[in-house]
Amino acid sequence: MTHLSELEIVDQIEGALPPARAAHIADCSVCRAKIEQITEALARAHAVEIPEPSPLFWEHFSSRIRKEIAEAPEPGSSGLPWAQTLSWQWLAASLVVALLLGAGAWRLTTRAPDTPATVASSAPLNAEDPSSIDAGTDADQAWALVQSLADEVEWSDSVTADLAVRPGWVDRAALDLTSEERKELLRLLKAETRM
Amino acid sequence: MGRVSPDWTIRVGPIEGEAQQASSDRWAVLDDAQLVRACVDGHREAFGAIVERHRRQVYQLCYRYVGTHEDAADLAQDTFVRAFKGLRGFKGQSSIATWLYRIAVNVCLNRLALKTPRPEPLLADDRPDLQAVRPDAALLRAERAAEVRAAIQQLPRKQRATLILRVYHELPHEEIAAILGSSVGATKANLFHALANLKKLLR
Repeated sequence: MTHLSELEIVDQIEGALPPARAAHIADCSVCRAKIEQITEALARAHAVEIPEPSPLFWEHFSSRIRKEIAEAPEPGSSGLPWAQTLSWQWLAASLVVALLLGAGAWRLTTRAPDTPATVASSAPLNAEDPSSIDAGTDADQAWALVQSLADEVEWSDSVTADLAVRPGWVDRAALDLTSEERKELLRLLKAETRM
Repeated sequence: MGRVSPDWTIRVGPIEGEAQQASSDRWAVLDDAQLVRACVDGHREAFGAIVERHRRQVYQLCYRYVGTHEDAADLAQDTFVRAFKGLRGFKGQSSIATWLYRIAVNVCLNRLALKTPRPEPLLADDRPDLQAVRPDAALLRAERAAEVRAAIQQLPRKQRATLILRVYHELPHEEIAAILGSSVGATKANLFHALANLKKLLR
């Protein structure tokens, strides 16, 4: 039978070695010697106690921590002074406003064919050619702003900030659209699903 | 004869110490999970009860790691302050004691990476002259304990952490593995080598 491995020796001194393997110990002086050495070291380690600090130390210890914690930022905050003044609600509200502004600006530009500033206005989106959607939105500065803002937001942060879409929100948003907007949305969705 | 008003005033309500005591009593009845929730909800004074409950174990872990009272006190304090700041990250998947140990081990490892620890003095001159004076049993025990503590500090970092968490804090191998970011097998192997090295060092 093979000698006990290091892991089995640890199991043996902790009383967790299966009897089938433990039977080897009675026949093997090498393993017995190893187990004896490890057991002896464990006994010496066990016997060591830590000098108990005075009760006064514990009082000071707790009061020092209390003081540090009183000055610390709220748990989980970044610790930056400007960040302490901002709540998640404000951040969420700011992001929503930015998204709405961006979306509004994008809609205005796509509805104004004479506006020369955007590709979207000069080149109407083609549902048959999905790449034209990206070309239109990529050239839109307002949309680019929204994209750059959104790119920096981690998904987990958006969930924590309660920005994730909840059941019913999309339906409600769709109900707020005009019939023209709904048609446009339908066209965009069709184009998107063909990609 | 006119009435003379006293130069002291009677305070109605608890004095400062009593108020603090009442506050700590209020939190002391809650379990760890409730205390964590209270802290996250803005009752940072609830953290005092967590400190009160776990400070000795955290201090002892740090002491066993660094071997001096001053360093252990600093590291234990640092552990609690970091724990408070990261309280939102505590998901309750382990006990708060295990979570504090994890932070304490990391704090100790970081400290050791930054500076050479001051081992407990164990110079020949510091040892009692056992020939000259009648060896007192307590003195002898203290000397042997100091030898073991000094030997533990000479162990490689992971072996040391494993030995401390297993032998003195009796954590299961699974929890030690989670704290040190290793496997159960590696934890057992570390314990074996820690004890084997300890035996050599104590010869």
